Amino acid sequence: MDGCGNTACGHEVPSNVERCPHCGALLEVPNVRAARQPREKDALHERYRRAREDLHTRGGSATADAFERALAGSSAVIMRSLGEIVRLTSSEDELYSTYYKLLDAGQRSLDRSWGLRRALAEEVLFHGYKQEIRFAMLTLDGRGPSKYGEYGVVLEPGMIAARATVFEENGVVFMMRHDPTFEQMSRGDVAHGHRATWDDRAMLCIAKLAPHLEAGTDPAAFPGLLLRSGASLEGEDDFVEVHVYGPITVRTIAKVVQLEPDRSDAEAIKRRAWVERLSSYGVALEVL
Amino acid sequence: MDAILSGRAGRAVVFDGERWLSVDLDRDAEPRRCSAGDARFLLSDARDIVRISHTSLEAVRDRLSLARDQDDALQLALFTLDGALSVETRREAVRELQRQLARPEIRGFVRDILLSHPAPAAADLAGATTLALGMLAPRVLALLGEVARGQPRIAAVWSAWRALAEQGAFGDEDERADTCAAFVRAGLFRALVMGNEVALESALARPELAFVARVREKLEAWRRAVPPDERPSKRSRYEARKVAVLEARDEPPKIKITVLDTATTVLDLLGDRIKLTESE
Repeated sequence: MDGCGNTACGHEVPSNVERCPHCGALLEVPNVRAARQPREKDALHERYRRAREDLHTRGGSATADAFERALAGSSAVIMRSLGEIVRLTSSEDELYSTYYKLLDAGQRSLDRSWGLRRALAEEVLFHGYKQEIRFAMLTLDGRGPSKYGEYGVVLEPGMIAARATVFEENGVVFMMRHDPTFEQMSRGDVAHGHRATWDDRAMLCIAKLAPHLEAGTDPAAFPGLLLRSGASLEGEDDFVEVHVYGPITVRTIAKVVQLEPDRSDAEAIKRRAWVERLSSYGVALEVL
Repeated sequence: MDAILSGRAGRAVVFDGERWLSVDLDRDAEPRRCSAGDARFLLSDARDIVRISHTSLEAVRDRLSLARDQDDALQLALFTLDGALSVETRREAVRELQRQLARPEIRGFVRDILLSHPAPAAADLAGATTLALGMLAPRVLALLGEVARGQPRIAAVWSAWRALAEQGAFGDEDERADTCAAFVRAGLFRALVMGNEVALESALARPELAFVARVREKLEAWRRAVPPDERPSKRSRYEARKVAVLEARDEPPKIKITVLDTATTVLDLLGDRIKLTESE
């Protein structure tokens, strides 16, 4: 339970609601409230303090400062195929949305099929509001692992700052690795110090990545340090996961980064049409 | 082995009883091992989900390839109808769509979608028809003609569906969306619009409907709600249109009517001669 921010109310509110059930005041979104819990913040500050101390001992304070400065400009990226991006960015367009909606199905089937591990992990991390969370990755250069899609959709920080939080790594992988007890999960006593508000994302990254920073680490290596492909034991990518509460539309997008060349004539036409349509929203395509 | 795939994402996730595998048509020659953690990034936002049970990797690859080509063709069709795009881009879309519609399973998919819902006001059917006519793209012309001519019937079938859905005949909001998608993909909307009983019966056997409960009962309720098709036969429509245009030639003010209705008029006039309209 959290407390209502309205000083005239101040009563406890369930952790998954957007409005106070007692006074109707609009609350911060649930994932941000979760990251602002004193036990979360205290644990994160303690991890950060120890990481900075370790870096100082190894002569890496200047590197840590440079990394933090770089992280201040970090963004959330969602990797997608071009077809999905066309759909996502056509949500305000009658012609496209009319026909795309006819095919919208299967999400429940998807939820059933992924199995219990994902469902359990997400229920523990986002108790009562997991369906509202969109997943992204923290990036310094607009790139993410292309196995999830050849295009990086970089979100406009100003459009997500009030509703995004960052997490140590892929939440499902984290839960599998830490394997909390039933009792811990029931109490919500999981992952303290491993999540942060958007504004505190640099702190979480330093706490996580300090062992990989050295005195004299080249800033050009920072993007690859923050998001590493195939870095974990099972060959999974290692990244800081971004949790965005609520919808993402074309207005949420800052730019789109194309990581690989067009694979077919149809794809080249899709890209061209997309660029034409999106120019009116001020969303640019960047080809790497 | 069970699989979930999205043509739009160009990706499938397979569970073989022990392992999760991801299949990407362009990227990997072999399926790549993945985890439940990966899975939510691989297909998380996809809406065109297709689920296949008791299948093989080869079958998954084939189905995925087809699903992607079908989705490409749908997008190309929407580009041809998009009056906000440049003429050059729409031309390219017509050219590529003409090529892709040669495959019956792709043509059928696009027709299933476009004949399911009344064309929105933003759809530039006349402009698309003019482009396709200028480029001599008969398959695209046939598709556009069918969509243009079918609008009144499409609207009737869609209205009946929506009225029943609002009464709760297809379950809650999620179930309604799933049922609608299954009916569209199975070709039931198209079969009803075309009044094709054979197509309706064969659509009922389609795997897309396997996950819909009481499908025949729902279909029957829907059919009863659709008003009878009182359109004249194709031949008499053609004759009537031909007479109208010929009359318009002698009486200048009536020409305007034929210009407004380019999509249907041109196609109806040419239809029987060069077989632009494909039969069911």
